Formats: sequence, C-alpha cells, structure tokens
Amino acid sequence: MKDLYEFFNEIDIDPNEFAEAEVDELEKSRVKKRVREGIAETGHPSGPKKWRKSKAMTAAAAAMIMAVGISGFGLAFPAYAKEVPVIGDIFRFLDDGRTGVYDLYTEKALDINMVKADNGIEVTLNQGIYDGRTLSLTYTIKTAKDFGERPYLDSRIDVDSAQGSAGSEHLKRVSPGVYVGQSNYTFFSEEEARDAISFRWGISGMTNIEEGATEENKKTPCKLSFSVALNALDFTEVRIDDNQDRARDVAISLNRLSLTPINTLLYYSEIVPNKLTHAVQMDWEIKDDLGNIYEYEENGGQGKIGDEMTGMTEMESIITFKRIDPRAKTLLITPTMKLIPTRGGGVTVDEKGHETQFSYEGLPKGVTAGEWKMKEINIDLSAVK
Amino acid sequence: MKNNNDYIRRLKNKEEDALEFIMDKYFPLVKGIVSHVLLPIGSQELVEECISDVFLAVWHHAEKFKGDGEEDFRKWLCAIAKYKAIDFYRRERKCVEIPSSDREGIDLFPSQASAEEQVLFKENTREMRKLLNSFSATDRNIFIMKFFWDMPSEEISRKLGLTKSAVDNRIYRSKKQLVKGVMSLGEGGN
Repeated sequence: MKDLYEFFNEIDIDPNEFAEAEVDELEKSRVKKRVREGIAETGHPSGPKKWRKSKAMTAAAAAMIMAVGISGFGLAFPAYAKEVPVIGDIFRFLDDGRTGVYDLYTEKALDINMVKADNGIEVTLNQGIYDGRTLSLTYTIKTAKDFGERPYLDSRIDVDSAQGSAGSEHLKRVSPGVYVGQSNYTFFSEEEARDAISFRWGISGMTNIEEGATEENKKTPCKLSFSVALNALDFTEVRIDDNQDRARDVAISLNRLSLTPINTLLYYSEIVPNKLTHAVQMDWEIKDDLGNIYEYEENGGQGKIGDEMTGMTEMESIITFKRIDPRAKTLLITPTMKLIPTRGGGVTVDEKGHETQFSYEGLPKGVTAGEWKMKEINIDLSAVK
Repeated sequence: MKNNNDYIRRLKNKEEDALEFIMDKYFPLVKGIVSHVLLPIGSQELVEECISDVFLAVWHHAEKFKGDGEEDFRKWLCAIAKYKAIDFYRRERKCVEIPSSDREGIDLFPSQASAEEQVLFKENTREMRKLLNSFSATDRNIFIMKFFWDMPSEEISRKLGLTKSAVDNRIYRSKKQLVKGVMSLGEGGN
C-alpha cells in the first residue's frame, strides 16, 4: 500500500510556478541545526516537533571554551559527575600525561561540534586539527548501551587527495554511557595537501571488545557520516644537514622537520634491503640543548618495495612529537635501528611444566636480531623564529 | 565535488551529507513555497520550523522517492513543501478549513471536522493510506491537490484538463467516500 509520499511522485507539479526566496546564512544554519536535531531524535517523522535545545551541544560548546592551560600530570575532571562529564581537552585526557605530544592541540584545534545519531549511538565530532599530514579528531559518544571500558569504533575516513592512509584510534569510557575518543589519520600522496583538507568521516558501528561481552551486545551497527573541511596549520620547514647514517645495510636519513604551532613532524626515510623490510624498527631519542626530552608517536610511512635489480626498499615515514621548546637552539636526534624477527619469541608450557622456547623466526639467514645506535644528528634551530 | 551527481542515491542511503547538500541547494525553493503559504501568519519562527520539517520529511521518506533524476526530485520536493506548508498553516489556525471556494452544496463537514481531521492530517495513518489507495489515480491526484495542497478547483481543472464541474464532482464523491471511510473505520477500529 502506497502512502502520500509515494503518491507525490505521480503528480505532475510544475516547479517553475514557485518563486525562490532569498535566504540568509543565519536562517539556513538555524534550520540545518534543527534538522540535525530532528534526525538525532531518531523519532518517527510525524508532525512538526518543537525545537528542543540540545543539552549535549551546550555541554560540548562549554567544554571547548574550557581549554586547559596548565601543564602537569594528567588532568582533573569529574569522572563520574552527575551530568555528562565535560572533558575540557580530550587530546590531553586520552594522552593521560604520558607523552605530552597533544598538550597544545586543543588550543589550535578547530571546533566542529557536529552531532549525529543513529541506532542509539550519538556521536559529537568535537574538534579537528590538521597539521598538513595528520588529521586528528576528537569526539564524544553517548549511548544507553554499555560497550565496556575501551570499545572499538568502526570508522572510516575518505579524503580525495590521499592515495593511502594510516590511522590509530583511542576510545575510552569516562562515565556510564559516555565515551571520548581521538583518531589520527595520516595521509599519503604524491603531493602533500598543506592548505586544507576536506574529508568525510563515517562510523559504521561500535563494538564491545571486552572479554565476556555477550554476542548480542558486542557490536551495534550505525550509520553516521560527517563531512568537514579544515584549514591546515601554518608550518615552518627546517632542512636537516649531515643527516645520514647506516647500520647493517640499513640507511637512515632525516629529511626535514615541519614545525607547526602544536607539534613537530620529523620526516625520515629508510633504505632497507628487501628481505629486511619487515624486520626493521626505529627508535628515536629526541632532546634539545636545554635538556627537554620529547616523546613521539609514529604515524606510519609509505614507500616502494624495490625490484630485483636494486633489491632495496625505500620508505618515507613520519613521527610526531610535541612542539619544540621555543628557547631551544639545537635539537638532537639519535636514531636506533632495530632488527626484530617478524614473528616474536615466546614460550610454550606443556602439561608437565616443560617450557619450550620458540625459536625466533622471520629473520633471514645470516641476520641476527639486535639494536644499533646511530650517530646523533644535530639540527640547528637558531634560524627558526 | 563528488556529491553533485549522486546526492539522491546517497540520500536514500541515509548519508547525512547528502541531506546537507540538498538543504544548500534547495533552501531558496523550499523557503519560497513555505513562506508564501505561511505569509498571513507572519512568523519567521514558524517558517523555519516548517522548512526544517520539509527536509526532515525528505530524509525520513527518501526511499519513497521513485522518480529519476534531479528534475523529478525537485518536483517531489515541491510536493512535500507545499503539503507541509498547508499543514502548518492549518495547525496554526487551529481549525481545519475545508477548502471553501466550493463549500456551497457540499456542506458535509462542519460538524464532523474533527473526525475527518483525525484522518486527514495524520498523513501516515493506515486509514489515510487505505483511502488514498482506494481512489482512482485521477481522483487521488485531485484529492491531494485539493486537500493537501489547498489548490482551488479552477487551478486543478486547468492542470488536469478537466472542466471545473468535473473536478468538483469528483471532489464531492471523494469527500463522501472519505467521510464514509472515517466513519466505518472509526466504528471498526479502536
């Protein structure tokens, strides 16, 4: 049986008989907001609904103004406050004072505050920041269902300009039914998009990955999608001189630094024999002449596996660490190259308690696992303003 | 932009950015239709509420759009906008005005407006669907134009190439059927 909306297809109406009206942006955004809220209410499309001011939106907006400016351990927050807890700075909250990489993010991040809901999952995309290579998003999720302490969010990012991307995600419960999260996406393409980025962020479900989660409340599908465009942060590039070292046929070169108001990106490349591609792992010690030590996060890399002729794979990767102390004159970076078996070691214990050590597998013949500290590379920052 | 071509498909797919796109594109048209109808009430707030209701309806009923391409979609959207605007207008006036130009001779309703109102203005009730489905295509089109779009008989007759009296006749029959339907459904159900 058809309904009115289907019958509307059958009537020939002449759209030209209607005059378009002038529209101002303000009224349009008010209507759009109302529509979004209408959708979020997940209710059925019966008559007009009185517009209700969303508490969530107000809370999120307030949270953004409350950016935390004090450094120190962790962050005080009302973990189980009566109402929705307000996480002033999701970046720092999730970092938990561990690396400090994200300490400055909230200050420069752009407020997005889009709310969408489907199937009982309400997602507020709070903030976004794009440093020219990596997009970081923070979000707050509200749901009546319990997804455990650290659920998994099934999300996807679409960016036209990128040929590939790598990502990480961090989602944590802050009170019953409320989660805050951060996702980082690093994009790879021939040319960097350093002015702006427009992306579509879609969520297709949320999963309780705790042991003991029953099958039925494990995964809840939903269909949410956010389209956002963000300007990239300003940046200054620093070239790195005398930037190479080599250990065990693995050559590392530090190519450049990109200094943004919130963080520092180190671009480096490695040239590795094909057979060792999966075995190489880098560790970095980064400090400045004032004694500050910078912890970092890896963002993955891209490269091409070499052909038979060269037998070498060349990769360019990026690590991110926090903004360099403005008073520092020199940055000192010491790479350590590790060769690690792709399948790690381990122990099996049989019924009688006999332990059998796994042999290290994965390293090609004639290659031993180990660590090689490379030479320290000094980067002169005196020219950087 | 990718969006441009397949926003209708993506709307049906429940992708919200397609709706965003549609709102940007058709806002002036929808506003034109809605504000024209609601002009006498003179409330900007009501106009905005109605516009958002139109887009919400587009969102919720997207899968019922059966047309092909942008032109059909535009027509479908106009139909919804017109219907919603009239609906809002009537609600605001707190009474159901049976289109009055031809009230003489079809004085069926005044006392029964509330029974009829129940059905007519709950677009999605099973009863309404039943009635609409029971009409012939022409009767149904006339009925929708008359009751949901509040079009005068003259205009309907021009549109459909019928004489005005033919249109009036059909309206009369539909109304009778409607009242009968309401009555019998009222007795049978609940």
